[in-house]
Amino acid sequence: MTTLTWFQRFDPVTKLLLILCLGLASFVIPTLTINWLLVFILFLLAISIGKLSSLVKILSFSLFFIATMIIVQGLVNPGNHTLLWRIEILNFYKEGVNYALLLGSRLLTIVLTTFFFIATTSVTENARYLESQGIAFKKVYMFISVCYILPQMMANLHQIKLAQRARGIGQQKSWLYRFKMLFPILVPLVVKTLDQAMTRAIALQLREYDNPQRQPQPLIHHYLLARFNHYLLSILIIMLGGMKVWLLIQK
Amino acid sequence: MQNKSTSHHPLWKITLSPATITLIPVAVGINYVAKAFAEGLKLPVWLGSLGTFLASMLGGPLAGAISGFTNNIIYSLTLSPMSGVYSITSIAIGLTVGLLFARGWFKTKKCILLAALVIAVISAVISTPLNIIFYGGQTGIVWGDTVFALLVGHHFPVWVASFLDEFMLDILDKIVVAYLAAFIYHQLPQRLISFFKKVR
Amino acid sequence: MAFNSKIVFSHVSVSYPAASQPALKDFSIRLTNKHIIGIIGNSRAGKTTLCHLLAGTLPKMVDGEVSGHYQINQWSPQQDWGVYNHQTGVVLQDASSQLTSFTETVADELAFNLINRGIQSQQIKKKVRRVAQLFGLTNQLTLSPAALSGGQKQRLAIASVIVTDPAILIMDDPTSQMDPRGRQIFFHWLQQTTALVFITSYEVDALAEVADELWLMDKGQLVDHGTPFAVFNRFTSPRIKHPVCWQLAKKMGWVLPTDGQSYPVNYQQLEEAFHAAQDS
Repeated sequence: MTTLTWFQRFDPVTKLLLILCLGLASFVIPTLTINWLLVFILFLLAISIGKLSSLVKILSFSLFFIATMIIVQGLVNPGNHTLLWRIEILNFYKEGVNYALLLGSRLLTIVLTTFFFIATTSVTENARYLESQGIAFKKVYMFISVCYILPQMMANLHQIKLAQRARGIGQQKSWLYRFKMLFPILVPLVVKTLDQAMTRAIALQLREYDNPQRQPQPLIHHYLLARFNHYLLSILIIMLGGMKVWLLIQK
Repeated sequence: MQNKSTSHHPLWKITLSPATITLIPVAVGINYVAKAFAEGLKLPVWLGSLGTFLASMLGGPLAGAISGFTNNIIYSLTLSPMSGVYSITSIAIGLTVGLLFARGWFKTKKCILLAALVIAVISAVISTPLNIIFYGGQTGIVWGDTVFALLVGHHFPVWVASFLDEFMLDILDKIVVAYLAAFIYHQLPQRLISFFKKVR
Repeated sequence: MAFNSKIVFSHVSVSYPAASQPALKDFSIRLTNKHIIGIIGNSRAGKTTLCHLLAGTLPKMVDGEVSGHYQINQWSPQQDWGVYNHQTGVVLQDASSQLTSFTETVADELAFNLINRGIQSQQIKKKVRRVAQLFGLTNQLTLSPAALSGGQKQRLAIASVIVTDPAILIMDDPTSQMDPRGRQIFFHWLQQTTALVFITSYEVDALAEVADELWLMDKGQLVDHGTPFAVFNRFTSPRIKHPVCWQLAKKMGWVLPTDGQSYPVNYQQLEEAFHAAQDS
């Protein structure tokens, strides 16, 4: 067996609970600096995993969105009164910008913890773990087939897009014309997909997917302290949730 | 011997039958393809709930709700982490479509328009607080956010501006999706419909 | 080889909801000790409906009104479905949709039915290697099923069904996407199997070689049945192809010496007829 990296020693449920826990924490922490410190630490962790190209992809959209929030909130937030910058005729106010930065830090906390989960667990690993925890294969099946359907549909779509390009659709034509293009391409694709789903549903039964004799497959990694982690994180989540409610009541 | 009982099943019952557990992944897949398709054609709508609509129509409100929920959870774990938050909206859309469909709201063109309006309102009502909590009221779509900024700049309450921002984007989308879903439903061969109706 | 099988159909009809014509009309047949039953006919002849009946998926999963009585060996596919299904292997018409779609490797896909039956993992490995070899998939074991060609997917679908050694096989046009080499591997394997086989196919040449019984269907009815030799020498419909051996022999006037008027339908008979023609 090859040596495991530190993040492979945690089971999928621990990782999911961690997402929830850190997400909640960023909502409870009121200080901008601590929130951004958290984001910074998570960012370093994300870099340490590797897979930089997908990290860049996932971050670029969030950063763009945070930029628009800073602009909109900095300009028009109802609580604005301390002028921060002045660019030509636009006045940016401190309250709005800070508010946008706070929301942005929360957004990035969720994005980065989720990235951590995606980048460190495979669908098979999740599926085997869930089944080993006594979850019926039916439910596990639903989870894994949803995960796999996206790449399959993307492949179908790629073909359609090639066909569209060959017909020169998508650039110059009017909206109405482009709406009409939905019918000859999207509609048959949807009907075909449903037909395949029917065949698959029949085949699953023929292949005895719900046979009670089914044995869960061995886990891919050996996890450290899985149960302990679940309890610890669940307690933390309850505490953080309680704190948030308390803070809301205090207001 | 004939399985006629399918149409008499209660609306709210759901079992994890093979038909359900294949219908839900497919609904998520259709949502994704429709969304990417709309982007590819540069249409002014998302179409990202087409699969959820169809799942509700074929499998009932609960199948639709589960499809919508699963859809956003999977999106948040694969494509855009924040979409998990809007799983609540997707659940509501799935439930509403299923209920309206069962009451025959998808039968005539006028009814579909009305149904789309109801769905858009419900979607916007649920999304608005989420937009306010997470994004200070914005939606992330430029022209909607421009309206938002203008309204807030003219001292409208944030929640009104945010609701209008969301509703404007939702209404056109839901009208197109509702007509498209109804059209596709009528194109489906009878054997497919009766197969998936067994979901309930 | 004598096969111990029993097939009974007694006045079986099938109607799909909202269809004007029944898909199967008054289908009756009674046979014993058959091995491979080839089912031929044009599209919409009722072949797929018959496969669904044989698999027990109609009316259990596919909606349809079924009347009459049918039985395969000691089982009624309708009443004893769970037990019966454990004995059968079914390859549906759209074989690539029959794959689970979530396994990461061909080996995992082949193991799926075995895992579901709670088989030991050592045995699973052995069985998977064996079927992979039988169907020429050994080099693909670590690939993703999605990466396979249409013909390879079809071979994978068949292999993942026969991995459990079913006693009854039901296959709906299982070679439609295969190249000639794949078809050859498949029909060669089919001849060796000890299962009772129902197979629909447009490959009349291969069926004439391997089948010991042929059912000719048209518009939901059983038009003729018997050995391939008997059936191909009886029917004249230009809409269904005859085996190449038959066509060639007819053109050349090579009749079989046994009755002096029938044409050969497979290679062995062709040889016989050819030598008879040479001698005379």
